[in-house]
Amino acid sequence: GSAVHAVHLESDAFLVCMNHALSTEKEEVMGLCIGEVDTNRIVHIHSVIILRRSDKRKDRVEISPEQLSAASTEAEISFELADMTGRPMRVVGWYHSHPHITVWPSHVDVRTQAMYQMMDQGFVGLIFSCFIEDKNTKTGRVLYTCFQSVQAQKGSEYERIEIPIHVVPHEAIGKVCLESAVELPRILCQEEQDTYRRIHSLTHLDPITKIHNGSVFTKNLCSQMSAISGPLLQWLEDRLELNKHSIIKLQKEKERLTQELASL
Amino acid sequence: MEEFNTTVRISGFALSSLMFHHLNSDADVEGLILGESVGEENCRITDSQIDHIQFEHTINIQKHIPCHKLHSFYSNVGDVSEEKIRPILSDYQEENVIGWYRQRRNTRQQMTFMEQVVHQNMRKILSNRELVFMLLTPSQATASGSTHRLEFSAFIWHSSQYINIPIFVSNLGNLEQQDYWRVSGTCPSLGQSEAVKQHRTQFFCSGDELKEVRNISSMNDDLLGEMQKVCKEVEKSERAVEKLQEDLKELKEAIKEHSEKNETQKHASPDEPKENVLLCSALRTLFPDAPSLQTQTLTVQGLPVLELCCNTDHNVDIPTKLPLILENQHTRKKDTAPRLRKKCLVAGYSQRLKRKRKTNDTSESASDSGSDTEIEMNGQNRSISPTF
Repeated sequence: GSAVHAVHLESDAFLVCMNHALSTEKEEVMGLCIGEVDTNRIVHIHSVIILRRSDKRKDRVEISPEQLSAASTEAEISFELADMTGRPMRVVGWYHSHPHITVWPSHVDVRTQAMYQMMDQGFVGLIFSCFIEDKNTKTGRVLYTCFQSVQAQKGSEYERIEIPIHVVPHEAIGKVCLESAVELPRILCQEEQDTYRRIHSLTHLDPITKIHNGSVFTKNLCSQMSAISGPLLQWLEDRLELNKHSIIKLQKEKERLTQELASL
Repeated sequence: MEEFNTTVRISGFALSSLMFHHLNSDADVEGLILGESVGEENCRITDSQIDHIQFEHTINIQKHIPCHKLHSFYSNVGDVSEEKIRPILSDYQEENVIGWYRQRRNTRQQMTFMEQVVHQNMRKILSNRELVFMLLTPSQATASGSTHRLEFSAFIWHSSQYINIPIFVSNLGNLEQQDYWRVSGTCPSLGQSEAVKQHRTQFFCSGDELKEVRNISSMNDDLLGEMQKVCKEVEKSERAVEKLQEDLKELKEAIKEHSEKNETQKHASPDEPKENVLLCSALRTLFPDAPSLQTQTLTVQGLPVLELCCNTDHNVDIPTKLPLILENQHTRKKDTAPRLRKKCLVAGYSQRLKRKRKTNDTSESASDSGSDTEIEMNGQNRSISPTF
């Protein structure tokens, strides 16, 4: 049997994963899942952390177990991972996206997951498949799955095993989730700046090339602002508006109930 | 001749937000969609007889307003009224309503009859011609529950029928990301030309930095700073909403407790036997030396439990509450009391006495001996029947 019975993914963490997966159809994105494992071998995911990929390959996304371990440690130190109850959280899994392709993990994904499991038996993998459209029915589709890896026999190929996953309601969005959500545009901007600086430091480039590269940088940053920062800011403002209205309504209800209680 | 080519666009954040609304609910959810409709004439081919005009119509979904419960803007028969939509919209303008959405689990990507009715009525009420109905249908993809699927599409009414329009999720990937040039051209003359040298300062700041790069970087930094500020405000508001919901929960529980307490105080619990205080006082007055008459508790065999005698003085004012007893006491004290007292001391007498009293409504007749005691009892009953 597997070391994990099921995964409970809080809906606000799901929101951040989905935002990240839907951010680009050109390449796979990846991140870490933060949470805890209870005594019933259920993995609770409370939030996620978006990972920067130093080596951006369009067709594959994975980082070595050493890189994962380093990223996890850094995450656990730099982020306030303790949730509202004060319980310490840790990295319990990873997620990545499959734009335009099937939700099932590839052979590489299964092997990568197996390597992560060597460090931590309870480590789980999530995959989000997006930008799929049924040409006939004109229906868009998004899928997500949870898996672990298992070896039938020693020396044989790794295979995936299905792990049940439930998205648990969490109406209010947690602090860590919100902070992770707004990390995305910052990470994209940093990646672009790093790429640009590396290019710009090349000494043999003539001024025309430099001017061109400068406008490429401008263009790329504008794309980020248009596709990511803009809609994210929009969503934040709309959410704030929604909450303000909820607060007014809830406040009225609270006053009404307080009066009712006093009259009893 | 006009060709309508309509696409619906939504950002990944707006789509995730819609999914988030449904994930937090066990039931179906619905709401309004706001955004803008942009029409653009794409191609105009004119020949001698006909003008072929291709219109590209883009409906941009910008945000959604979730309804807190179903049927909030339409009746049970699908009638939509503006008065019902207004409060849902609150500060938003009606012109920005470009459609509505519904999310239902494990159902097909097909409009139900009710949804069609509501949609037609919406079209009558709202100014927007091409109103969109967005349908999201999540379902489980595997039996184990490891994989889940969400399907989504848009429907509009066109040429007397509902047609299915694909929803395009705008993202970073569909915007062409230009590549940097890593090598320059092979001609040094260009870089060293007078023209380039002269105009150089217009593009470069002191040093090697490009003005354009600096400008866009600072604008982007400021944008991220603005986003950070709004994010903090959102976080505060989320905690405020959470706190209020907690408070409401506590208040509801307190109210429930209170009303339950009041209820129990009003209706006495039927299984708790209440002591007949008058009877107890009467018996104590009439038979002060018969403790077996002071207990309400019998064993399974029907024998009085003397250990549970009532010892409390109920402070019943006999002359006012039980005047007939006094009369009876008066007469009895003369003849029956001594004999009764003697009889009481006999073991088992009290048991038979109690049984007689308790079984007066059953057909069971006392099969024991001791007829003289029975006579005594009957004698008493014949003289007086006190009413309580």
